[in-house]
Amino acid sequence: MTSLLSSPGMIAATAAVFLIEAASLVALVVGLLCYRHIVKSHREFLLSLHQSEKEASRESVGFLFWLYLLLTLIIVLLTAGVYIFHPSLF
Amino acid sequence: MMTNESPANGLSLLSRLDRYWIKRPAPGPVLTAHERLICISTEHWIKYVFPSLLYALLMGTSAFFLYLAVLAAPSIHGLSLFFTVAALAVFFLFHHWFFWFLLAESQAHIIVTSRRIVYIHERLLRQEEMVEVSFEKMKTVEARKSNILQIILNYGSLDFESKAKLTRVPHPGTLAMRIEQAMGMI
Repeated sequence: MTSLLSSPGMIAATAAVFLIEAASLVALVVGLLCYRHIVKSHREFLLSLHQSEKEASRESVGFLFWLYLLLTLIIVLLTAGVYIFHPSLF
Repeated sequence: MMTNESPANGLSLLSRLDRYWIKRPAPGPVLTAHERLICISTEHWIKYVFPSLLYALLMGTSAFFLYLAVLAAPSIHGLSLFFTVAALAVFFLFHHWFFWFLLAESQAHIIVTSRRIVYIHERLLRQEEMVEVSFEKMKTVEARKSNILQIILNYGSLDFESKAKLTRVPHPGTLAMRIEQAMGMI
C-alpha cells in the first residue's frame, strides 16, 4: 500500500482515483434519492386517478433501484480494492 | 415522447433540487367530475436499445483503457496511471449517465382518461415534462407505424391533428381505438 504514495505521479493518480470513486458514490446517492421521490409522487398521482392500491404499488422502487445500487457499490469496492492492493498492475 | 412541451419548471439547479427536498402540500383531486381513467401505458422498450448499445460500447472503451494501462505499466508508468484514471472516469461517468437515464425513463407514463390524454415524464435533476391533450379541443387521433421495425415490434406514434404527437407508443392502433372511444364520450 505504501507504493500508492511512492512518487508524485502515484500520489496524483491515487487522489484522482479516490476523487472519482467518491464522486461516483455521491452521484449514486443523489440519483437514488431523486428516483425514490419521483416514484413516490407518481404513485400518489396514480392513486389519485382512482387506481387500486395494488396497481399503484407497481410504481415502487424495484429492480432498477437495486441493480443500480448493488452494481455501483460492487464496482466501486472492486476497483478501489484492485487499485489499493495491486498497484503494481498499473 | 410528446412534441408540444410544457415550459420548464425549474431554471437553476437549486430550484430543481427544491422539488426533491421541500415538502409540498398534497395535490387536490386529479380527475374532474364525470371523468374516468381508461388506461395507463408506458412507452415502448425500444427507447432503451440505443442507450444500452452506447453503454456497452463505452464500457468496452473503458475496459480497453484499462487494458492499455496494464500493458503500459512495465515500461511507461506515467502513461499507465493516465490510462487507469481515464478508464475509471469514462466508466463511472457513463455508468451513472446510463442508470439515471434508465431510472427516469422507467417513470414516463401515458395516461388516457375519458376527457384527456396526459403524458408525464420526470427526469432526475432536470425539468419535469407534463403534457395534456384535452379531447374537447381534439376530435381525431391517427396511429402511425412508419418503418419495418415499428411494424415488427408493434410500436409507433399517435398524431393528434398535427398539434401534438406521441412517439414510441406500444400497440398504437389499440390505444388510438381506445382514445377515439373516449373522444366519443364527450
